[in-house]
Amino acid sequence: MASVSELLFSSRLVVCVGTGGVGKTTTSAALALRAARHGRRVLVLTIDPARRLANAMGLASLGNTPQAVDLGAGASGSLHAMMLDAKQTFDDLIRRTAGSEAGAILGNRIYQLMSERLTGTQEYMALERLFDLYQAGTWDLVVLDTPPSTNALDFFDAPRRTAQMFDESVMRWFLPEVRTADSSLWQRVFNPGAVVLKLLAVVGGDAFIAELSQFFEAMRIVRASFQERGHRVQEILRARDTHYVLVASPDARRVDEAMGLHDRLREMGKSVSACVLNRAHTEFFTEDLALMPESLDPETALLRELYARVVCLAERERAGVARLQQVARHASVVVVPAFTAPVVALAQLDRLGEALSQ
Amino acid sequence: MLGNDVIDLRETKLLLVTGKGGVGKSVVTAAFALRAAQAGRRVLVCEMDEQPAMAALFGSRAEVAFEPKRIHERIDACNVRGMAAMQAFLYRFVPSRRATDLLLKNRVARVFFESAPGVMESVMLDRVATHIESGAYDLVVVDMPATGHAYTLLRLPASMAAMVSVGQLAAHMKALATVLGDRRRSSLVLVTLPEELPVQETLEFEAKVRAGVDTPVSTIVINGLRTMTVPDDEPAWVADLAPGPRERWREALALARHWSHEDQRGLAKLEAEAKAGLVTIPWIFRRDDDFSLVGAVTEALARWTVY
Repeated sequence: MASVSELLFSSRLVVCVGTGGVGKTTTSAALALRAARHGRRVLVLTIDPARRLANAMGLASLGNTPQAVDLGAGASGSLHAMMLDAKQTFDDLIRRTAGSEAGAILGNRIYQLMSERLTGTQEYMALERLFDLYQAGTWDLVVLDTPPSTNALDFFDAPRRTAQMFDESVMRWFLPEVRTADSSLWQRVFNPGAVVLKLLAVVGGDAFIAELSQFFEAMRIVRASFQERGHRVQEILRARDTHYVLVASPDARRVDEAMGLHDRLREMGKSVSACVLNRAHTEFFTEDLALMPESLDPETALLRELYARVVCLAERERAGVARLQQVARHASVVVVPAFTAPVVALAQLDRLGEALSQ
Repeated sequence: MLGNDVIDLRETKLLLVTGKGGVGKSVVTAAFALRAAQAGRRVLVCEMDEQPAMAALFGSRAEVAFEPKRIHERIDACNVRGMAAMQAFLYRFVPSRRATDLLLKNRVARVFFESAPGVMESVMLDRVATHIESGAYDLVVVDMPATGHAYTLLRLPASMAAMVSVGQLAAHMKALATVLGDRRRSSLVLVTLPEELPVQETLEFEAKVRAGVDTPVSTIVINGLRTMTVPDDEPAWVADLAPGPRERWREALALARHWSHEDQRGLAKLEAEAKAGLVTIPWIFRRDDDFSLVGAVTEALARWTVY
């Protein structure tokens, strides 16, 4: 079982996974900073950081290109941070791969809708961007903060879903010249494409079909590149020097979610190397209540109530930690105490990084 | 403004609940459902998650899937996500059930429906609309995805209308947009914690919804308010304790002070900047199981709601 410190030295890619609201982005930044402090060239790729986190790293704002974080004088490593802009990444990809067709694709309404608004695009694009950055060779370690999502694992499914979306057998339904080439008996008796088209025409109207056909026609040009990259991203995600860090908090519901994520990651062949339980209040005990004076004055009663509440919380959280430890037997489980001061400067990220590596 | 905000749910047919992840959205959803059920209404909770959690919150062992199942007195739950939902959706539009079944058996077709953006979202919204129209329930409560995806969902009827102008789906999306835009019958509830980041995101989301969606945020539920009275000075006896307990007592006091301070600040910011009504739910420290938590939140909610 490798400690978090060891992971930061041996990995090329650290993927932070977890549901929303557990400090995943801050944890990603702290891990990246920690590795940079130990001499590695690190990039942290975040999806939607709070402005305060960007400020903590000394960056007025984060953009779609890596920006250097000032680590102070004498630093041997380096840290870059960037925030994903899904729309921008998608447009860039189209411009790069579609050549003269780029304008037509970028102007298609279905493309615009898909690249801007619809669920899943962010996931596709995060992996797309990861691929470029990972391949660039500029960084020893990339720390990837995955998008918050109801189903956090949609993310790993994104390359498969992208590839499927542009699967030739699906695209051919919408592309007349390919369709006529189908001549097997089965295809003539039951052509799923024809059924789908008819159905979509009923549901969406003919204009929708026309636009969809145009979209697929245009996307055919970039499809090969999409699929190729999708496969290679999967290879990166399965690589031996890729490690998964599960971020949660010791709260019962978050632990349930974390346990579910842990098991599903394992089913996907991705084992969790470390679990981080943030914002813990585990170090308060009932016994401490007996140490306060036996007094009946209102202030003492108030304090007793206050401490009793904190103990309630601590007991529940200890139970949560224990449950996760049971499930994640092969991962190191790190419990990070709740800091009362928010992360507003690099020093606090350093402090969090230290707590993470203990 | 806080204080005079009562959530009037007497005419509400559809209650949409969303919030940033980890703010207790599902528990608040459950509490709204329980409160309405206690008032004698027939309630359906729609979940949109691959791993539904509502039954567990009610201490029920029911396997919640596509068809509504009883999870508590007068409360049913269903999950509107997945292939069963897709099938029901297609049945509505395609005259031949056999053709639909054949289609869904086809691997390639399934792949298309799973991966084409917006399709599953349309299916989920359509199912919610079906339940509202069925008349089987007095109130439909939707445990929406977290705010990012919830916005996509709320926008969907408008997005689809822009993309699909004729056909049955267009008509259906228009009908749905009408329900969502009816402020008397639909309410959008935003759940938040009083902490700085969730408060900031809540205000941003409220503004985004106001600009981009017909359904305004009607109520912001401030969940887990940890207001407690903490003495300004450390009690004298703390200094006499052994180092271990002394540190823990000091930390507990600092923590309580920090909580109170942070929550009051978050509350003040919401009072100053939010347009929607505000209600508060205290942090529930003592809870034996999930259902006792839902019960305590329901009790706290009761003073803010009229059914």
